[in-house]
Formats: sequence, structure tokens, C-alpha cells
Amino acid sequence: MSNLKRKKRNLLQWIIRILTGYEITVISILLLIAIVFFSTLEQADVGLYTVKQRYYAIDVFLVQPELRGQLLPILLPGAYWVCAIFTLNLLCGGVTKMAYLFAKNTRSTVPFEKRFGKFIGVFTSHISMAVLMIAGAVDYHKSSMTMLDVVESETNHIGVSEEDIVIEVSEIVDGVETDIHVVENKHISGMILNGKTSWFDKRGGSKTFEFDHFPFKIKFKGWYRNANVIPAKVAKIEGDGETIDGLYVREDDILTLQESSRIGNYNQSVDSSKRKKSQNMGAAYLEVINEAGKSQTILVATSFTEPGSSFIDAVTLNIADKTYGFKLTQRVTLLPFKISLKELDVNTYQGTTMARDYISNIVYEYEGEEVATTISMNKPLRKEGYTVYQARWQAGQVDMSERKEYVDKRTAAGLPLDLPEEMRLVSIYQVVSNPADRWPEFCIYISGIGLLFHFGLKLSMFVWSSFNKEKKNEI
Amino acid sequence: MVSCSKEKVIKITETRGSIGDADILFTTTPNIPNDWRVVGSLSNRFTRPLVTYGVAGNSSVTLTVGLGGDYLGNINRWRGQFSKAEYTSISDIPSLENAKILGQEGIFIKEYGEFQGREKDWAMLVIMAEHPSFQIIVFKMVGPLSELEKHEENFKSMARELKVKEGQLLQP
Repeated sequence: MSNLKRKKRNLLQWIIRILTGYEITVISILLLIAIVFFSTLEQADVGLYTVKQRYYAIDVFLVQPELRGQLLPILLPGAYWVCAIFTLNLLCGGVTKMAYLFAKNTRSTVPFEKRFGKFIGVFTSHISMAVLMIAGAVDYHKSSMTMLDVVESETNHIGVSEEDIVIEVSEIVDGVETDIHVVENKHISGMILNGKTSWFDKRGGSKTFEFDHFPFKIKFKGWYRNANVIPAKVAKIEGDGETIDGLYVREDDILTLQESSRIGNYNQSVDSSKRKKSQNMGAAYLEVINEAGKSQTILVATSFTEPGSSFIDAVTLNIADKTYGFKLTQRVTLLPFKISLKELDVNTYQGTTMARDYISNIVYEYEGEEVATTISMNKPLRKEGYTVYQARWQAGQVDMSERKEYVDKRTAAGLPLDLPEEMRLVSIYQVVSNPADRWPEFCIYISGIGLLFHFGLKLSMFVWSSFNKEKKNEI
Repeated sequence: MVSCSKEKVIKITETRGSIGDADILFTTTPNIPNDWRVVGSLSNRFTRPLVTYGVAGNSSVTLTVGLGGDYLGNINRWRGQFSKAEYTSISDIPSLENAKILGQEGIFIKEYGEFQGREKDWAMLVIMAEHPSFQIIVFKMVGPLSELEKHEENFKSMARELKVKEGQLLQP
């Protein structure tokens, strides 16, 4: 009877019970499945960047999925917080509770070795899973990623992010941007104006940015992930932005990664109004307020990041007898190392232009030291806390068969490559700095070993007990 | 609906170092008048122009490169914006002067009247030249006649000293 009687718990015990219970585990996993499902569907419409901000950002507590431009009558919690609760549950229930019960159960009649054997495999797996979740958090908070384009026979160390849009504010001195302040993406990423809005979406409000020694501040009310900047002479339609300096913003559908991967900035339609962009172009209105409180609105927009294309120029304002520049642009990262691309060796599937493999023969330069090495698909270069992946390549106007002929001739004659400019390819690298870069890999190994040990032990115990049973029966 | 979150004030301390040439503006104009500003640049290059300067009041100056056609065709197109009859040859233009832009010898012309049927007493100043890389370059100022008269000398001297960032000569 007493076994059937429920124990009375105080508040603390209830909290511990809930935190360590399987209910949270199950609910968290189901919610994560739902979040991944809906965000994947939405990603097809609005692209990866927007979905990451809407579902996975730290400041998202609730999200209403949107499909084909319609908000669905479902509410989901933000993925970050579900992961946080799941990790806490894993640490409390799967790790602490397990260790506590193992340590507490000293009076058990089962020998220590046997108990330890049963415990250690599952315990290790739980720890590695918890570390895997923590690696996700470290990645979210501490990692950075940028793209580095290097043309054959050239060197580069300026990374340009494809996803992170920032605001740059600088003082223009003799036509050059100086003292460049960067309003980082984290301050503006959640303030995208495209698409439908709902009460809990963070697509409203405003932020004011102040700068160390600039005599003004900027009031920011959000930005368009994809927009057209249109001359004022073109008639406006409902929803178009304010006309500033003869231009206004018209919201455009956000392009997905697949749509963005089409070649060229625009397709070649002669009629400019029918041209279709192949890359999202951000735009924003910035309200610049000087020290006297006088405000002036300017319109800034991003440019393309095709290899070899220009960085955009700043829109300028004259404040207190100085000229200041304002930009909405991809985040620029000055990497501590340089990559010189000697040759990009591209192998395509026979009869196609589809790359089978491409290998960069590079020279890695860091603090005066030069190392010749290679980077290829799935074989990144890991140096100084950075991982350099071979992301893609571009031929541009290069005639690949002519290039191959040239390279083969030079190689056969034992001559240095000396590629003429019109034959140079562009290699594009993804450069990632993530302190937890290899944690997931190690976690999977450790978890695998733990589970293998556990199930191996279970199997051997089962085989052993079956063998003993048969032996007893024989006797 | 939007959230009713409070306005946040954020002090920006992050800076980035120079990236060399990329930090130089597309056009460097040491003598840019104090009340002129760059209001649009390469970000809008697909729509042309390459650089737009906002000038005090309603006037604006644009630098466009790679314009198709020839001098006469373009001039007649602009005359059409002032509802004026087309010229049959360049020598018909009464206000034609020689001018220089981006190191190229070109011409300077003036038009005035009712602009695009809606702006009375407006004017247009144009310096255009043929460029080996860009077909035709056009430096154009449009705005109220009274403002343009004040800025005509600034406009001409700016065109003379205008420099385009090396290595950034885009094909529009």
C-alpha cells in the first residue's frame, strides 16, 4: 500500500522533479521537430537568413510560422530557448541525477563494477550530448563567418559576409572613409521589415545608435532584407517608402539561397522594370539627428558582393563642417592572415560544367611566415583558430577549355603557370572562426563509444545469462 | 501590428580598419561644395547613374557612365524633357562650349524652361564626353534655374577635377 501512496513534495522538489523529468525531454524534442519543420517550409519562401532571425535568434520567445505569405494559427517558442531548457534538462536529469543516484546507491547488493559498467556508458553519452548542445550555444554566441574571394595569382585578406548586413558610419576626409564605426549585425538583424508582421515578431520599435566622437546619432527603425531603390519619377504604389533625395524604397520578395545562386546580378531582360534580381539587396532609412536635435533622413542600400565588384560608396551628410559617410553594407572582416591563390584546379564531370572536385593551391601567409598548402572540398584548412572551407568558385568570362589547353601546355613544358588575366578563376572560401568548431565531432565519437560500450555490455550480459540458463537446464 | 518595445539607445564602439582602395569613394572630388552631398552611388548602379550628388534645394547632380547613343541623340532626348524641338546637328546648339571631364575633352550645354511638364523655370547643365572605357560619360545637373545659375561654376570646376577610383571602372 505504501508504495502506491504518492510522496508529498515541496516546491523545490517539484522544480527538481520537473527539471529532471522526461516530460521536458519529450516536449522539447517535439517542439524542436515542429520548429525545424515549419522553419524549413518558411525558408523556401523567405530564405535562410530571415528564418534564422525569426525562429532561432536569442531574442525570439514566440514565433508564428508563415507560409506562402500567410501567418499560420500556430505559436511556437523560439528555438534558442527550447534548446536552453532541453540542455538544462539533460544536465539536471541525464547527468546530475544519474551521477547522484549512482553515488547514493552505495548500499546496493549489486557489485560496484557491475553498477559502474551499467552506468558509465549511458552517463558518458548524456554528457557528450549536453556538450553538443553547449557547442551549439558557443557557435551561436562566439563564432563568426565571412567569405573570402581570391582571384588566381592574387592575394586577399578582406572577408565580406554574405549574410550579415551592418551599418558603417565614417568621416570622409579627402574622398576617403576614415574612423569607420560599425553598427554590428546583432543590433539590426531582428529588425527586418519585409513580410507580414505579428504582435510578437520583433519587427517594430526603433533603436538609437550613438558614436564615440561623432556629433550626431542615428535613429533606426528597421531595414528591408530585399528591396528596390526606385527613382522618384516612377509612380509609387501602396507600401512604398518615403522619397528621399529623389529615391524611394519598394519592398521586394526575399530571395532564397537557391534563387540567389543564379548567375549574374540581374537577368538580361532589356526592360529594366522586368529585370529580376538574383541577390537580396538591403535598404534602410536612417534618421540622422545632430547635437542640436535637427534630424535628416537618408536612404542607404546594399550592393552586390559578386567577386571583383566594387564596395559601395557612402551616402554623405555634412554635419558641423565635416563630411560623414553612411552605408548599409555587408560586414567586412580584416582577417589576420592572407591567402594567395596560385592555381585553382577544377575537375568537372565529363561532358558537363558541374564541378566534381576543385582544389586550391594556395600560400597561407601569417605573421611573415608563408606555407604552401591546398584547400579542397571537404578538406578545409585549420589555422590560428580559423577554418577555411572551399565554398565555391567562379569562372566569370573565362573560357574553360582554352584555359585547360593553356595550363596543360605550360605544365607539360615545365613552365610556371603565369595565367593571363582573362584566364584567371575566382575561388571563394568560407572562413569560420568558432571556438567550438570540433566539439560536435568529438561529442559524437564519445557518445558513440559510450553507447557502444553500454549496448555491448547489455548484449554480453544477455548472452552470458542465456548461456548460464542453458547450463542450468542441462544440469 | 508591431511590438511596443521601448526604444533602445546603443553606444557604438566597434570600428574596422581600412581596407585600402575600397574605402576611397568612387569619385573623389576635393573641391566638392560644402552644401553638396553624395546621395546615391554604386548601390544603384543598375539603374544608373553611378553617383548622385544632392545639391542644396531641389537640384541634383548625377554622374552617369556608359550611356548609349551619340551626343545629338542624347541632347535631343533632354530637349524633349523641356518640350523643345530637336536639333538636326550639333552645330545647331547655341550654348555649346568645350569642357573637360575625367580627363576627356567634351562639351557643355545648357537647357532651360518647363522641365517634364511640371517644373517651371528649371534648367539642366550637362557636360558630356566620350570615354574609351565608358562610351559616353554624362555629368548632369538639374534643378531650378535660379539655383543652377549659382552653382554653374562649381559644377564646371567639379567636372574638371572629378576623379574615378582606380580599378573600379565598372561596365554598366
